[in-house]
Order: sequence, then C-alpha cells, then structure tokens
Amino acid sequence: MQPRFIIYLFAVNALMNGIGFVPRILLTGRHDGAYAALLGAFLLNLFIILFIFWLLRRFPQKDLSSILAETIPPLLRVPLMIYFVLQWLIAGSLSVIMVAEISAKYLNVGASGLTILYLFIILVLAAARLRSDRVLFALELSFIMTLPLLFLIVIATFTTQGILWKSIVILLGEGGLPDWEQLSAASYVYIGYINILLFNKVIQSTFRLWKLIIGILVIFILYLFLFSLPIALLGTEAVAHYHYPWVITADSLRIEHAPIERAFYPALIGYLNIALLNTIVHWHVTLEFLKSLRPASGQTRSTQTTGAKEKSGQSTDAKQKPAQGGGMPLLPKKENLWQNLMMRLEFWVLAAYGLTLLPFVYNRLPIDLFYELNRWWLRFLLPNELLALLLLVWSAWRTSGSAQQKQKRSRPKRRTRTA
Amino acid sequence: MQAKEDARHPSGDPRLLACKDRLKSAEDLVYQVFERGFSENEAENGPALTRVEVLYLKTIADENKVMRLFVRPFYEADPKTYKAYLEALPIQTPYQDEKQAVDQLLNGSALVIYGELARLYDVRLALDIGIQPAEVESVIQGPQNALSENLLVNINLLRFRYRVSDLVVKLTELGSQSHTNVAIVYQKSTLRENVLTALQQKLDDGSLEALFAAGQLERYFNGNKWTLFPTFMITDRPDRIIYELNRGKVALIIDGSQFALIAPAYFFDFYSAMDDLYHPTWVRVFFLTMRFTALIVTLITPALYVALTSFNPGVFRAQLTLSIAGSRAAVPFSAFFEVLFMMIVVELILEASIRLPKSISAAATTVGGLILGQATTAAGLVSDIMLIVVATVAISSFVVPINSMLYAVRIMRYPILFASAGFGLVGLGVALVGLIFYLASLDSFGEPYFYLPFSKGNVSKTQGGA
Repeated sequence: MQPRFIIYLFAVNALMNGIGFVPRILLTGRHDGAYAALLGAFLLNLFIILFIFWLLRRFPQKDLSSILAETIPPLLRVPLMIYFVLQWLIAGSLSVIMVAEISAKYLNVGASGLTILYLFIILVLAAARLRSDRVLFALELSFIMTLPLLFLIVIATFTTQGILWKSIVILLGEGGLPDWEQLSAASYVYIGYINILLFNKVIQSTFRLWKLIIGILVIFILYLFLFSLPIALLGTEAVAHYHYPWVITADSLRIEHAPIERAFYPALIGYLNIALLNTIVHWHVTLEFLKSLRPASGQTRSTQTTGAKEKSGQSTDAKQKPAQGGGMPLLPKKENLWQNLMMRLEFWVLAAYGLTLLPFVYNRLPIDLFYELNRWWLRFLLPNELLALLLLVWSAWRTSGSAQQKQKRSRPKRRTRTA
Repeated sequence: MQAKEDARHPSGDPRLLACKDRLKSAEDLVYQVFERGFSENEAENGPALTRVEVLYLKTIADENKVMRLFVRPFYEADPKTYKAYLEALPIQTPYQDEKQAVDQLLNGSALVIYGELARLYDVRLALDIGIQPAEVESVIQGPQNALSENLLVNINLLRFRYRVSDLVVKLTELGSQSHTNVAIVYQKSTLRENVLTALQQKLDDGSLEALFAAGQLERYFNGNKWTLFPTFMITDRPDRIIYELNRGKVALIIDGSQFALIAPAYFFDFYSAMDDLYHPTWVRVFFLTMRFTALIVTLITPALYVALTSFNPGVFRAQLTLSIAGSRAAVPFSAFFEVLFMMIVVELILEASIRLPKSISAAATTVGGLILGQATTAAGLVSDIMLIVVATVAISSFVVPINSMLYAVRIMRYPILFASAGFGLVGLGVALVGLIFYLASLDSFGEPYFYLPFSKGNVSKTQGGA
C-alpha cells in the first residue's frame, strides 16, 4: 500500500484537539512555557519520528511484534507487548470516553452518556476487527469526508470578529520553561505515527524522509494555530475556566450569512468522527498486537483445523488448497460457537472489556478522574516513544550483524532514495 | 513433388501456424484444412494431392462466405484454375508478416494458404441482429448501441471494437438445467490472475440450476446470502466492457441476456459514467463531483432533517429554524415518521412506474407526484419543506450511472435515517463512519471493494493496456 496512508495515521491524533484534555493541560500552563513546550515537543518528535521511520526501513512488511520475535527472547517480549497493548488500549478508551462525554454534553443534550458510549463502542469494535489494509482504506475516506467540516473552523476564524491575536504576542513574551507534563502533552499531536509500528506490515516505506519533515512541520504550524485560537478568542485568563476550551471556542466562531451560522456543530461532528477513528485505529492495533501474543504454532494450527473443517463440508482438500493460498475464503465459514470463540478470542476479550468494564467505569467514576488519568497517561507518551525507539535500535543492531552486512544493506537503499 | 510438399509442412504452413500461435487464446479461432486428391492426369492437373488451409475467427468472419468463396470452388475447380481464381477474388491483401496477418484476422479476414499463395480475404461478418440502443445506461455523446441477446453477436461487437491478439474468449456452459452458453472474456496481458481463478472456481462449482440474467450470478458468486452493495458490475454497453477489459477485469457474457457481468467491481466504478471518458477534463471533474455530492445528499438529507428538527434545532440560523418549525406547525407527528412515510411513498411510486406498462406509468407518476404531494401538504400531514427534502433526495438518488448501485444507495438511506432518529447528529456521524467501514470490509473477488483510486499502481494499469 502507498505511503500516503501514513498521513492519516498522523492526522488521527493531530486533529484530536477538539476532544480530549490535551488543550486543557497545555492551556493551564500558558504562562509557564506552553509555547516552549510546543517547540520542544516538535523538535524532539521530529528527531524520534525520523529515526523510527529510518529504522523501520530495515524491516519491510513487518510489525513490531514480528520484529521483536526475531531479536528478543519471548520471556522479555511477551511482557513488553502486553505493556504496549495496555498503552494502546488506554489510548483508545480515553478517546472514546471523551467523545461520548462531549457528545452527551453538547450534541445530544439530555441523552445519557452511557447509551452513546455503547453506540460508539459497538461501532469501534465492529470496525477494529477488519483487516489492517481495510482499516486504512476506510480511514482515508472518512478523513476526506471529515476534513471539510474541520476546515470550516479556519473559514470561520476569518469571518469572526473579536479575535485578539495580540494576546498571543503577550504570552509569547512571557517565556518560561516547560515541565515534563507539558512536553509530553504537546507530543500528543505527533504521536499518531506510532501506529506505524503495526501498520508497517501493510504500508510500503518507499518514500523520502524529507516528506516526513514537511508533514511534521505542517502539524506543528497547524497546532500552533489550533492552540492559539482559544486564547485569542476567549482571552488569556478566561480560557482556563473551561473544561473543554476547544468546544467553547468552536461555539464562539460565527460564519456570517451562512445557512449554518455557528461553526460549532459541523466542527463538533468532525471532531466526533476523528475521535471515533482514533479509537478504531488504537483498538485495531490493540487487537492485532493481542493476536500476535498467541503462541505462533498454536495459531497456525487452529486456523488450519478450522480451514480443513470448512473445506470438508464442501469438497476435497486438494481442490481447495489454492483458494486458501489466495487469502480469500471462498466458501462461507461453518463453525460452531466454541470454535468461533476460540478463533476470535482476542476480539471477544476486547469486546468484553469494551462492553462491560469500560461503560461501568465510565458510569461510576466522575469525569474529573478521567482528566487525572489522562494527565497521568500523557506523562508516559514520551517514554513510550523512546522505548519503542530503543527496541527498534536494538533489533536493527541485532539483525544487521557484522559491519559488512550493514554496508551491503545500506547501499541499495541509498540508490532507491536517490532514484 | 507432392510428397515433398507434405513432408515440408505436415501439420500446416509455418506462416499460418505463427498466426495461430499468436491467437491461441481465442477459442473462436477456426483452422480448417481441405484436401483433394487427383490420382489420374497428374501431368495435366499438377500435383496429385492439393490442400488449402483456412484460418479465421468464427465470431467475426462469415462462415458462409468462407464456404462459398474458398471451399466449394476448391472442390469444383482444378488446381491451376483455383489458384487463378484465388488471385482474382476481390478485397484481398497479400500476406506480409504474422503481425499484419493477425491484425487483419482480428478485423474479420480469413487467411487462405494454398501452396505458396498466402492471402488475406475480407469476409467480415457484420451482425446487427437485435442490436438496440442502450437504454439502461445511456450516454449523450458516445456509442449508442447496447449488447444484443445473442452471444455470438455480442462477441462480434466486442472483437470489432477491441482488436488485440491476446483477448481470450472462453466458451462454457452454465446452469445444470438450462445449459446456458456463457463466454468468459478477458485480456491476458492486463488480467489479474486471482480474479480469474476465483471466477473459474465458482463456475466449476456447478450448483446453479437455471441461468437467465447476469443479476442472478451476483448472489451465486458472492457466497454471502445477505448482500446489499453490488460487487459486480452489470452493463449492457460494449464500450464499457472494453474499457473494463482493458483495466484487467473479466467479463462474463450470457447468451439470451442483454447484460454482461464484469468482475471485479469497485465501489467508485459505479460512479463513473462512460461519458466521463468522452468529455473534456473540467466537465468530467465537475460532473463527477456532482455525482458524489448527490450520493452524500441522498444518504444524509433525510437523516439530517430528522436530526435537525428533533434533536438540534440550533444548528441553522434562527430564521431558517423558524421557517422549518412554522411549516411543521400543522404536522401531527414527529419528523421521523414524516420522513419515513414520504420516503416510502416515493419508493412506491418508483416501483409502480417500473412495473406498469409504459403508457400507464406516466399517469401513475402524475397521480403520485403532483396530486399526492399537493394534497398531503394541504391536509397538513407533511410539511412543505419535507416535500422539498424528499424530492431532492429522490432526484439525487437517480444520479448513479450504474443501475444496480442505485438500489443499494436507496436502501442504505434507511439505516442512516434510523440511527439519526435514535441519536440525532451523533447517530448520523456514527452511521456514516459505520457505512464507510462496512464498505471497506467488502471484497470483490478477493480485491478490496472500497478504496480511493489515487494509487499510481492502479492508474498505470488502467492506461497501460491497449
């Protein structure tokens, strides 16, 4: 698949500013170096992203777990993968809880947040179990449908009066050094790329790295705008009074003489879609990483046995073999409930979590607790990135072996890059 | 002498064999050898055994003409006269090389080899039995004729439009009871192998009893009983078939049906009209945009109406909200039922106008459209704005070039409407994302059904053929 799909992986997080707590965390630190945090996160992530993508070229068509399977003993690999699975699971859960909360508060006023959460989770579960390439196809189209809605914000900015860009200048003058939390929260906009650790198995990495730099720069500039707009619109002090500063900002924007006067609704629908896509992507990665935890021999055996059963129902084994190789099940699957359950065990685990535990937690805990959880989770962003980077460096080092092989490997790569 | 001749070419003339080899994928290729012995009077009449070899494509060459022009005189005349006769026939070109010969063969010529003589004669078969203008998928500028119901005529049409030597025409039977003749047509150089193997496997399965129309195969091939979106394209236009063959697809032409089936099909193929190829770029871009706008309008407008009147009236500016509320003032039920009733009525009108004889269907639409529309608003059962919404939705749903997608889109509006009735704008958003992911999960012969055709790989494949 084309490298263009990486754009959508980035966008899944870069456009999440409307929903979630990142703007709030950053805005609370607006007097103490939030802009420095943005710049610092930009430079830091630029470095990490370029390094990770450069390293991933050594592992074409492989995801993180299959890379680690070759270079790290299982005793270490399984806990590591479980750790990553948990990180991704939490990322998706936080997004879906945020979006349910905001939808219940602002879009469906009066509806129960729990019902909406169930609706979202059912959609996300159904979508996350698709094949990785299909997820990317759908992601692409959903983004193309959603972007015009978000673009309305930019248009509305130009037609709205009363935006004081001067306040940004004042804040910029204050200076100050960011703390770790700010830096990590500012990294959130770039973190979407980390999904490449799974999607690397379907996306070709044949693109030039400078395109990546341009992409990250675009995100940086975009986020500078998206971060500054609430301050300029709501005021340097008032902006910190809101739980969801971006929702209020979108509500303050007006498009004169348009049939839809307030940019609030289109923008919110757009953000809702982005948040759903965010959850879908994260939970898809969760699911795939969970699948990779299954003992390799057991997995192939189980798929083969069900495949054989599927075959024997219709015709002889020999005739069906090419069809299985083609990767498309031509005949409808016939399996009993237990086999089905065991085949898709990971999915049912995720479904059980999503349909019971998550709504329960959401129902019981106050939303402020999720804010704290989110802050706590955001602190782990940068360390996680560095951990992934470290693992890739280690794997690259282990697989490259002697220096001679390294030279052999790097040479044709250089040629492709210049070609 | 004649023994030498036979020893030299025991299995046919090398020039002819070269052509035959090039066209080996064509199952409609006919190679015939006629021999005649002259045991007495050898000195007078030349060699004792003469033979003539004829090569042609039976779908585009006139077999009667071949019989009349070459075979019968061969047995009637003596060898010398026959040679002179062959040289004297009209519309002939001498054999130059195999490439030229294959080109001519694909244009309805017959290659005749008689000793040293090798000539190509135009015996083109112009079949026009039952060819009628395309009505289901019409274009303004472009070929107007549709496929006919005769398999041979259809292959004839295709061959004349698309003269490549690696066009494969496979003739088989389908249906254990009906024994319908079916032709599988594809171009070898552009074909995607996995598609053909998947198709062949399905055809060999042999669980179909009687075949009447291409649409039947849809369900048969799918394996899945519960399908909504067409994963095959059904068309009656020869130019579209050729366009798709060139893109590496497989066409299935059925005897006794005007419609051919093209596999695989992708979602966005259903939104490309053949007109797009014949228009200037900007015209094409504009109308393509219009078509996708129409798709979105069809899908979301009823749902949006429900969401905006029942859940989020604050979306529109105040005047608009008030005028909608004002027109709804007399309506005694909620917006959802209002939309649902009107949409069902429109579906009924459409269905009635298809089923009725043409002379009555005009009356049905008049009664339905004009009288019913006027009366329902006057009675206060439906708001004026609702009628505008329903009419817009109905009209924009017709803007689909391929008919089978029209039905899918029409049905798809209802789930979106229900989601919107339950959850307002949130439901609408969720339903749209869900629809996109559902489409992305579909397969058409092992190929992903739903992706944006931006990718260079596919584009080069599209243009690389010919």
